[in-house]
Amino acid sequence: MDNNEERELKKFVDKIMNESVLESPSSNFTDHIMSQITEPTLNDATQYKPLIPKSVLIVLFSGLVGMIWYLATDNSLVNESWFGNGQIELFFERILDWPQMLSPSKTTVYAVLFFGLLFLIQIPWLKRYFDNTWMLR
Amino acid sequence: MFIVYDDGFLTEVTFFNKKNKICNLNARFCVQYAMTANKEKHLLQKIRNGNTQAFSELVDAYKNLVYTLASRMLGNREEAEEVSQDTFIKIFKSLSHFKGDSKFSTWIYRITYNTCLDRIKQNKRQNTFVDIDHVKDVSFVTMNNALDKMILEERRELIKKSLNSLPAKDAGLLTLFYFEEQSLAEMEKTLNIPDRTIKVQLFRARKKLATVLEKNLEKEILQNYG
Repeated sequence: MDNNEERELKKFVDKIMNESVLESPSSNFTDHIMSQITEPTLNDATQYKPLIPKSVLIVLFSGLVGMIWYLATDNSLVNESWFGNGQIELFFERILDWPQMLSPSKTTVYAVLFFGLLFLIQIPWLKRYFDNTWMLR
Repeated sequence: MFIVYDDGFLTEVTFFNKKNKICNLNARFCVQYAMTANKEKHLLQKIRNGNTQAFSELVDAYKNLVYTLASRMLGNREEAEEVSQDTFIKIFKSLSHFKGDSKFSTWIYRITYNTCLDRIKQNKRQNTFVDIDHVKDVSFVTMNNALDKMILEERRELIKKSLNSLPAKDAGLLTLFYFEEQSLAEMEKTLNIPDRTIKVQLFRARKKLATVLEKNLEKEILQNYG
């Protein structure tokens, strides 16, 4: 195909493309898209999100591990093997006996018990509250 | 004579004269779907700030262009509508990635073109093959005469049919070329292919269109007068 023919072809196609018209989609096209776009934001509101975020859980867990480590390690343990019978007993002794190390006063004990009581009271109260809110929906 | 129109960010003035007659196809589209650069910027800002409803204005402004491109590439109304919807949802989701390096319309065309190609790949559809070896024999004068004798509606229908039966890439390329005001630089941004390759591909696409059109024209003439 020489240049002249190429030019003719281009001219011809230009003319054809000029004649072609834009096509339009169905009348509810925009509404359909908008409903799809706004839908996920509605779902976001009811989406499950853990009460305690992962990072806090990690911090708590590492804190717990650190505390156990701190209570279990003692200078006397360092040079001996971990798996001897006596060593394991000593390990649990140290971990379980820590409240004695603190030697709490009576007031502290009552405070802790009272805190536990209040904490437990919240469970049925919260349960009723949530039951009522969600049942209404 | 000149026409002022706006497609996207730039307000452009296209001159028409005898020597350099620039295709006014896109101008025609854009006069109809005009959206000033400032309005578009303002709209994008609104959407980014969380006003989802503002997006519907953007959809209304571009839906016909997106749908036409999809329809020509896929050759099927239902599929084209589905893909156009997917395209707009993609556009909405990735709006934050649009940095303004290219025209907004170019960015939209690129997403549409790629979504169409993905759909074709998904369907594993066989590409239509058009033999372009005998194009030498096509007489443009005869074809022009035949086309001129048809009523406008018939002619448009025939052109639409021919574009729809082209291989997806060729139909997409031709449509984009005229959407982008025949600018190879914009095409380069849309397709991510060097302009030399685009030129070659365009030439082949034109040839294919001429071949398909000739076949359809023959059929039409035979049906009407045979």
